Amino acid sequence: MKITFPHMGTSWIAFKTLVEGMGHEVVLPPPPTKRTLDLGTKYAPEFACLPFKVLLGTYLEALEMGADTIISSGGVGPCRAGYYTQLQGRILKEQLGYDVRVITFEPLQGNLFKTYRMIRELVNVSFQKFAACAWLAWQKLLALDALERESHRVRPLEAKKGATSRILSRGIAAIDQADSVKGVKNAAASGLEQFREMPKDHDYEPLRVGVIGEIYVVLEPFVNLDVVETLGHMGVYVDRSIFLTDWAVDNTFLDALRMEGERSIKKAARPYLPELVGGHGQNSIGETVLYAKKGFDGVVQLAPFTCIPEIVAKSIIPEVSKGLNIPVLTLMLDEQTGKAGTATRLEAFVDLLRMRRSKLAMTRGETA
Amino acid sequence: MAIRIGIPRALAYYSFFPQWKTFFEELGAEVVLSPPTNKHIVNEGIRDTVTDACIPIKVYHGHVASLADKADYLFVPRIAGLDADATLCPKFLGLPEMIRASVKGIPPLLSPRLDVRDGRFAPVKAWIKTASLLGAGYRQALSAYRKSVKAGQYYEGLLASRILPEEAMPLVDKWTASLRSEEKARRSDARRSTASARASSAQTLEPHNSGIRLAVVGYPYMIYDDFINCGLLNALKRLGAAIVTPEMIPARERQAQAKKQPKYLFWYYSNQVMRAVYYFFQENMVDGVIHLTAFACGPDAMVDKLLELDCHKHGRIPYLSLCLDEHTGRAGIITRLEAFTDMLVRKRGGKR
Repeated sequence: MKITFPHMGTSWIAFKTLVEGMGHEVVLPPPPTKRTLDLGTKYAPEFACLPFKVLLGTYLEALEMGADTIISSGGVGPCRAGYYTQLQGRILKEQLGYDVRVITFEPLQGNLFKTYRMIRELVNVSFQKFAACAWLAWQKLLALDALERESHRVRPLEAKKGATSRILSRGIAAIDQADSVKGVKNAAASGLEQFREMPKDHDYEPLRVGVIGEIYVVLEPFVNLDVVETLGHMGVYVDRSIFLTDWAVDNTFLDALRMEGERSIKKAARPYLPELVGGHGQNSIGETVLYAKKGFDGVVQLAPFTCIPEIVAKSIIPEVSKGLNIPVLTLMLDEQTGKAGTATRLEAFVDLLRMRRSKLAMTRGETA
Repeated sequence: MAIRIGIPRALAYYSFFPQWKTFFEELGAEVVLSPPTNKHIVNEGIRDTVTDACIPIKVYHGHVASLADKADYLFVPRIAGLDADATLCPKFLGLPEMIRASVKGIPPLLSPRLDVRDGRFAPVKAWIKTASLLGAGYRQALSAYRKSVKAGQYYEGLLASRILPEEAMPLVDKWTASLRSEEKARRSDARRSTASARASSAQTLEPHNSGIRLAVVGYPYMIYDDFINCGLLNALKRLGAAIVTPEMIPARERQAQAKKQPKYLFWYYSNQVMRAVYYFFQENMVDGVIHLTAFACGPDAMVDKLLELDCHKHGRIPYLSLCLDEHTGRAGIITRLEAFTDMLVRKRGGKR
């Protein structure tokens, strides 16, 4: 089988390791480009959300490159993402006539045996070998997240613009290349070391902005028009609310064990929205509350156009914003969104946050 | 003075109003219904909501605003599950919070969480809790609930015999009133008017002469709100088409089609649409399918494409998707309907 999978941020590195570990050939999903989006937009329903379109485009490109199997995740709603593969599969097969196998991993709800059988069927190698690869893939994810997290912290402080992004992409390449857990750890450590040694502007205290919203548009820089990097270059420390490893740990393990994880976020959201609305709708509210309490300067909400959970969140966020006094900028992203327009809006938002901070500092000075 | 409960004439109203009305009236409250959707209501709704919301949600906000000073409580339920298979659109789930955050100066909301998946007695409990907020006791609430469920079933039966909601609702009123009174005359009167409505609806909806048979599918609050859809049902009747909607298929029959879905959709109404269409196909009931959808509707983006693919698969049944929003013009809709029905008539080899 020649297997491909969705492209989401840097996670492809780990998935590549995992699928190769199963003993299959990997057709690497190409990073999304204008062409990916055009292809997806052409065949997807008009009001499908941006992730649907980008993924469909990615699959089409991967099929051109010779893939014959697509692996993706399912879901139980009410967010549409859980139905993606169903519809994408039908569009690819019935409408476009591709002979493609679509394998969907549904969340582990009760039907463990089915999931086990699916994995068993996919894995061509001995279980020990596969387990080792899965562990390596997980380590890669952890290393990638650690590097990215650090890059968000140091980017606003960099003395030379672009230095952080250069180190980051070198680090990502090194992690991709590593073929042992030790190699991955070394690559991550060397990346972190370079971040430490990078020339920095030390007396500068950056604005702190939280980025919240739907997971795909938050994690995929092409889709969110490099919001995180753009903000970083404006001298803003960005705290991205979603990292794939945290998300996986929270949603698969901690939740099952009824441990703290996303629960604190959900709890924070409860006064404003006591109901799960699917996707990351409730999380968006909860995270805004938490950012406000942690004293962040502002929040940027990212959502695909027509994303229902985020529309619900967007309707309610003004209450949070007013109640806890935290500015929130919502960016609805679709195939028409331009990078320059987004950068302008972010600049205006950051200017506003700067003024707000100096005003707050002044009033604090007066009372003191 | 009786407590006044305001109910917006939008969203789940079309499915459940008779039940809700019976419940609150049995508790001795007065039910205030917002007027049929009009330009003013739509404009109010647009003002209050975020731009990304769909037209039914905007209209709902408008209805809520129009009830602001006319009621002591507003009934804005959080409908989270109507059957075991699915939940509803996230906008139903977050509705009370959206209303509270968006519409200013409204009376307190009554927002029971209605979810049959929480267990057999969860909805009853939610209703009894709502009743207790209005000062009703357990027994009174339970009896009101029982009667409301009966009214709901009666209403569903009327819809299944192809009576449109606006015509069915007065019949339910007559029926519940006749239950309250002991007079035999009133009961037989109620029975008579229902029977005659059934007969007349059967007549108007049967295909006459070379008429074509159309399925009009979509959310009840899109199909039956004449203002949002620019009087679509009447326009189709004038064009000589017989119409069936998902609500005209008994719930049991719809449920029986569920096995044709490889994976259930996550939204109750969307599942009903898919299942109804499968039923129409199976019984060979329709010559064409019209899907009414709202601009930027999330679930419908999926449903619309599925319907398109399924219509194609099922002997290339002609399929028209009409996307509605607050800018939709009557003339544009009529033109498209005319073109569609003309095409169907020609396909059958008939003449206009």
